Amino acid sequence: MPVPSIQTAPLFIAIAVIVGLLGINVSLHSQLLSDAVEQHIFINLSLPMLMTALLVGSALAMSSAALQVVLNNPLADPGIIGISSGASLCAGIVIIGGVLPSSSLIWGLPLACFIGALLSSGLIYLLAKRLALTHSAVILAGIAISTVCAAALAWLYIFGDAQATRNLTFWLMGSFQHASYPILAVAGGIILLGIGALSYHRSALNSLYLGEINAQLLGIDPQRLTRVVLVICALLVGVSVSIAGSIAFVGLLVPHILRRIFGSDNRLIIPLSGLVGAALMLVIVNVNQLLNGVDLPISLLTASIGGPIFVWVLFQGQQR
Amino acid sequence: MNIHLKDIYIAERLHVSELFIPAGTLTHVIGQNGAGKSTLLHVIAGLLSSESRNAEVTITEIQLRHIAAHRCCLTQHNDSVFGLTVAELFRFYTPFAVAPAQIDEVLAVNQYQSRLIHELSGGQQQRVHIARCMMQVWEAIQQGRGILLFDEPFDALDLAYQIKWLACLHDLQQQGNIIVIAHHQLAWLNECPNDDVLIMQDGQVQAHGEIATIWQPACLTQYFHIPEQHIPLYLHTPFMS
Repeated sequence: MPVPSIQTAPLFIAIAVIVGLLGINVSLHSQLLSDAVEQHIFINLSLPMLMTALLVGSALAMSSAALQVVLNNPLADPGIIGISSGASLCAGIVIIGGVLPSSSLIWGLPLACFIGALLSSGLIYLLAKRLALTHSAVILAGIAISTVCAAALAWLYIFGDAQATRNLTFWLMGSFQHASYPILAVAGGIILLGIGALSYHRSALNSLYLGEINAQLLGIDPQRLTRVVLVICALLVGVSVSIAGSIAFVGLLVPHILRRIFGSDNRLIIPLSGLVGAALMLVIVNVNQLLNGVDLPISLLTASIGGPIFVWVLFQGQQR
Repeated sequence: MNIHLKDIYIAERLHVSELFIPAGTLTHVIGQNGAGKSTLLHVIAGLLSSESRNAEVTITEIQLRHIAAHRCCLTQHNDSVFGLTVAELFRFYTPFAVAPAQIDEVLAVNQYQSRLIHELSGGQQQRVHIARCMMQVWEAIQQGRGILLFDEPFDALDLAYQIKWLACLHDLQQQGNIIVIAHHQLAWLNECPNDDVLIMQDGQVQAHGEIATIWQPACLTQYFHIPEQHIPLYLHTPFMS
């Protein structure tokens, strides 16, 4: 079967933008080569932050691009379908409930978040299956799970002590500054694996656009594909939430805009979403650094920058 | 290459003890709403499995792992919530970026390449999806080894396209392809006396054979419960005895 080719120029442009943004960030540390303090700051603070931004941005945007296809809903993102709220609840249990000693938080928090994301994805899937596994059922189930998780988190707030609730609040709004190298080594490995796995399925995802039956007619098992992609996305989102808190809007925004500009071919959209998501997070890191010392919650910035862009794109209509 | 069904049973929808569809036939599957036409098509398309233990759906001479290159099926619902262009649809579901000339001559779909599918009219969309299905197995069709299943393909197609497309299907049938069409355009039966007809009722095959020998107005009374005096003029067949 000859496979029609895709345009690759946008991928290279996105990579160039990422390299450029990294360059800008490095140049902010003007005395990097001569000053030992500057070097220490760069290696122990800036570099982990940049790596977190790259990993989380690509993981969120890429998993959303895939989720939108398997759930047949251009509005799906990990937040809307409740995967990240499960992760947030588990983070709340760990931080406020003090389930783990603080020495093991480095490993415990990501693990708890991942389990939370996986549990909520599983629940969403089971609930949706009982509701006949239509795509809107998955979304409805997601909303239900989100509501339950939000309620449970609210109860935790009531019973948590002041310091722990404050920690949780900041954590939930998203930050790239939590990550250290040991966390990044594990989280980065998982995210790269997840990104690889999603990239592997990007062609098969194209067959889901007309629904499961038409995918089946092409010899693809749509239910298996959906399950696999849901698990990979739970993995990516769970790990992202665990190293950077919950970051709103990137997932919805990036693939949606890219589809409007470049069409729906997932062989392009899946990898490009990852790259553009990463680039967007780098922009936010740079903005955050330019604000000199004020560490704004990431969700605040993504919504402030992304929201207006989204409105603009909607007004532009179809750009093809 | 033949299709052979045995002991197919799906509760309250389909019960076929034996059905044989040979190469080089065009079969019209007709019957009332809910008679099991779509279900039968879906079983042949491999979308539904029988609930009975000894069920067999055999397609001779085609290896199972290559089946998607030989068998296509136009289903009734093909909508997408994403804004796909016709070109994208072809790229995602067929080995071709544009419709081969022979298909485009009949269905005239390449002119819509850059259009969004949901912005096309119902009939235009139907032509695009028919073309898409045929393109999926186009190589097999050209070797006379295609299995083309269509569920209500005439819906929304204007008469000119119905005529052109059916003529094209008859050509493909001559080359050995198997074509099965479930539809409600009973007038077509009168035009195609040498095709096969398969009449379904309550999930069972009531009659199966050449139209010229089987089809008569009495069938409308018997299988569609249409009183004799209500049978429209255009369905009085030339094969009346």
